[in-house]
Amino acid sequence: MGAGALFIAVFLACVVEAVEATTIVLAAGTTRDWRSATSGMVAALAVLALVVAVLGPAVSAVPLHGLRLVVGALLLVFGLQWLRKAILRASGHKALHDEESIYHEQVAAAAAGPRNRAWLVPDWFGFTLSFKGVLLEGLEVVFIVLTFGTNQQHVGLAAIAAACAVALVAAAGVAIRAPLSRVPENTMKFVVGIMLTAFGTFWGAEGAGAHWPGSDAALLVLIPAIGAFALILVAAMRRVPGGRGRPVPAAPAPATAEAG
Amino acid sequence: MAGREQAGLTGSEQAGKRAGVARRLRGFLAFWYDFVVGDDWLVAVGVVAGLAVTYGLSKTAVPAWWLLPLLIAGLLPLSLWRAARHR
Repeated sequence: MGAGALFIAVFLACVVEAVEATTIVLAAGTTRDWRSATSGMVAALAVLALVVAVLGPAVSAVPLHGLRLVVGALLLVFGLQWLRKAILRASGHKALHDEESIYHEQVAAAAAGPRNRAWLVPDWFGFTLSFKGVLLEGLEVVFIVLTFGTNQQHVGLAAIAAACAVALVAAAGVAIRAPLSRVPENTMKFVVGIMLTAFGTFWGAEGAGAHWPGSDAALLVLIPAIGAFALILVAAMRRVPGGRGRPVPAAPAPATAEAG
Repeated sequence: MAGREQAGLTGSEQAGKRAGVARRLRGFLAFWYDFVVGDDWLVAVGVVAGLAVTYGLSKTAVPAWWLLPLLIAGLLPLSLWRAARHR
């Protein structure tokens, strides 16, 4: 259970973040300059690798009880925020995350930027746009890989899951050279929110000194219970004014409208 | 006179630099606040309080594992209700 759930949680979280980063790199590459966008992405990945190399051993050196308390608290806050957004999107209280429209916004912003050469980079604006996008989206991935990996004592497996996700999304992005709007990102965020909340609850309570009935097997109850609770909340929120209570008959659903 | 103008310019430049540093520091703190706390501070406060009470309970004979799931059952709907109300 531990290894499988760890792989799925890290893989899905990384796919979501990689799709968002790919959208920004594609926008920078298409409108500005591919060489600058690619160098920005590579530079950000190098910084992220450095963060993992520095923080990885440091996190591993922290006693497991203290680590579980801090990591559990952070994962629980992250998970509840992801889940909150996913429920609001699925119930119609928040617009669905749409890579197509985000891509067009990024393209418009990139087109308006100044064109300056710096060092070996032909277009500094394209470089920084790509660099910041990959670095910011990647930080969350690094956090998830390190915390899940060290807590389950499977940092290697977490890193493999992250690498698989990034490679898959990058290959798809290179192949189609368009925003990956067909990835069911909203649904994946919903699942990741459930996983982060469940693991955060489990590790947070253990770190605070609680003992779960059945030990690790408690996760087998926590994950589906939180998932079921989240689905009930989606149904309840659809009835709240402003929610998507009744389906709109005529309008065709957009490609990304797959939340929840 | 020229010396005073020079001194004034240096002073305004220093004030500008200080304002720049303060802006960058605010931006840095805002980034970490947004990264860790996110859209609803109540969730972060609730989680920290829940863990503190769990720790307290774990020092007694009462089982403490049930507290966080119960907290989530209350905190998540409350946060959603707050979000829907502010729309």
